[in-house]
Amino acid sequence: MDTVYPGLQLDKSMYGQPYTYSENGKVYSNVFGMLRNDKIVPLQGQYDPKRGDIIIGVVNEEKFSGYSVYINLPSEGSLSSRDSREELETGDVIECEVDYVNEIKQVSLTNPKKLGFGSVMIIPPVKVPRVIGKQMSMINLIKEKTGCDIRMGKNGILWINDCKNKPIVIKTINKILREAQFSGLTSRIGEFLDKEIKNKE
Amino acid sequence: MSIMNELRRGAFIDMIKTGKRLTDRDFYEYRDIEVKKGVLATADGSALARIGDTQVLASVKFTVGEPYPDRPDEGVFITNAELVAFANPSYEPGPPNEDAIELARVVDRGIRSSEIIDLKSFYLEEGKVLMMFIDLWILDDQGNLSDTSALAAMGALLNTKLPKYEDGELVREGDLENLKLSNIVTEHTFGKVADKTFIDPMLDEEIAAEGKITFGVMDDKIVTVQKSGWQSFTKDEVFSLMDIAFKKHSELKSILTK
Amino acid sequence: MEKPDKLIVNGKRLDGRGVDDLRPISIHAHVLSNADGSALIRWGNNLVLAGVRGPRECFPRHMADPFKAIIRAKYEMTPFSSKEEHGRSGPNRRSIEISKLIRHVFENVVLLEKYPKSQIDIFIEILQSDGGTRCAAITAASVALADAGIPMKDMVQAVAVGKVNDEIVLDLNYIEDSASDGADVPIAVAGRNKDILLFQMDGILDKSQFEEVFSKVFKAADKIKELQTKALEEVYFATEKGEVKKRLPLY
Repeated sequence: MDTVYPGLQLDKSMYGQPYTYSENGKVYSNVFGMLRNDKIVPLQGQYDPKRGDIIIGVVNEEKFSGYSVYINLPSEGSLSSRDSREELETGDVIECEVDYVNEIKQVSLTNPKKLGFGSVMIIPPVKVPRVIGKQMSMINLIKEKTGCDIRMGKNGILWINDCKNKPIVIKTINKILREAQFSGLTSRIGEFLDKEIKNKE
Repeated sequence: MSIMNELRRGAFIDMIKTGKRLTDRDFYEYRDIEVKKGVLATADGSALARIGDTQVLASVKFTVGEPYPDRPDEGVFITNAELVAFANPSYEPGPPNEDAIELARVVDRGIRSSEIIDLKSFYLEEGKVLMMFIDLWILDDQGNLSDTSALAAMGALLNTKLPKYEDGELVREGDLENLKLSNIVTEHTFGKVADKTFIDPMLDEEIAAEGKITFGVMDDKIVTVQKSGWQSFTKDEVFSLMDIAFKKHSELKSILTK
Repeated sequence: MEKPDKLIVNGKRLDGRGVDDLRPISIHAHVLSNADGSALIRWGNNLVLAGVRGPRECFPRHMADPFKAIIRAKYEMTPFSSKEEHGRSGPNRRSIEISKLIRHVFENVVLLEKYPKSQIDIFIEILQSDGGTRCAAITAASVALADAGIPMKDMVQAVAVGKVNDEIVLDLNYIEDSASDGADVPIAVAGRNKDILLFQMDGILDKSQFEEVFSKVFKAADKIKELQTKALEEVYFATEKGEVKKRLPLY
């Protein structure tokens, strides 16, 4: 595992990878982070929208022929009313897909699904893979033990339904964010969940 | 982004109706508190106070000035607060806004009305007195700037050294005397929403709060009060919150004098 | 206060340093919870705090650039930062000029095209000053930007070189800077190529002395870059252990 920082030269094989740039045929890192398995894992950073990403958004405003949706980026995503089967209102939380990202990083969304009453959390996008876990092991573990429905958007927005164990889910997510050591995290979280649920009863 | 503030406000109101706060805190429990004194080498007194993740830096610095015409034998002090732009996403750089001004004035009143500083001791000679600047630099706003700033100001005053006055100038060499304080003042802020009150509002709780009340306390006396926000408080609420403020005063006072 | 006239005696400066020595520098990143990125630098008796916000939506909207992010930089000296008397709050001509130049430094290295119509704010508070604050500010801002995950071509290091008692000397403190026969040359460079991003001068030097100026700056920049990387590594590894506390290391 090696540290990378803006301006550090990388192997040519990293050409085109996220968090790199190239100049005169050489490849450099553009963020601070770690090089793990030939991928740069940044310390922090904003969500980089890509076509096909499944994300969570919050409807902010009804606009002419559509909606503007808050998606944890500097500008809001746009959803056309043609793309939504149901009528949406300001404050609705939706799970949707990134349809198109133009050259000036404006995002258009499609396939919205209204999520019901619940709570929304914003977590750093670089931590999303940890909340999901390898092959969804972490998020499924939490869902199983708490009986809650949880959706983690790639953009860092997380939705939890109004289940009775919702406060435990929130506590667990915060714990995962603080404790990010790879080895054994899933089993530690499993133990934590068991204890919390028992304490509640 | 306003929609996210609305959601946060709604989430907190839901929780408080079920008798819970946003984190596992009791309604009248402070977050973790820390005060570090003497953190600035260029100031005559300084402190960094932290309540939870809120961080405020206070500096005390003296200069030679003129007394007010109606109090020619007393020194002068001025309290100023600056909300630094990176302290909160909603701040914009520019001249002090109404929140910064209110904050400074409330901290100032706590020190002034309590008379813990004998301003006559700032007299230097005819027409010259010590002028004391208390600067409150808000570096990280995660709610309850009032109590954190008051702690920082008090911490700074507790380690302030008076410069010597020689030949019309202030000299800061050699052994200096400590600023004398006759007592210690602390401030305690409560938020109110959905008919529930709670101490030390963190940021999301503050955004949701409809009303706020701050009590400045010295021993068993109230030295200043500030109520803000549109929501009202009943007389009974005021008295019960005062009692809680008295209790919290001893806790915070022992942190300051550690 | 009397100004000493011999600032270098037998190769040693008043504070014991040699002509090529940097003052002691320590950098901590991720010290604030609200800022997207932050860094506190202690450089000799300078204490400088940099906070970064963004990329975020550009306000006012009409200032937005449709193709890239804009940078707003503000350098501010606190009224309690100098050993002298209490200063005045608010921007003055000097801080406005420095703010503009800091903006130009980062307009070069930040990959602005990645965030069209956004703005990136860099705010720098000088909590204690003792000569060379603009260089400490740029060095800290570079770390704060990396802490925020804002993509950049390079890390930036800055240091001032001067002429003191006819010698070219690295990293002037306030006393050395105020010496009347000196020169003060603050320079910021991009770490990789040593491209020059900030370059000012006050005083009189002839062209041949600049070789020495750049050579000292480039060597010092490498040392400073190591400290910047170390500060970020500490945050990275603390995050791994779940120990990151966003606290200012003031004591």
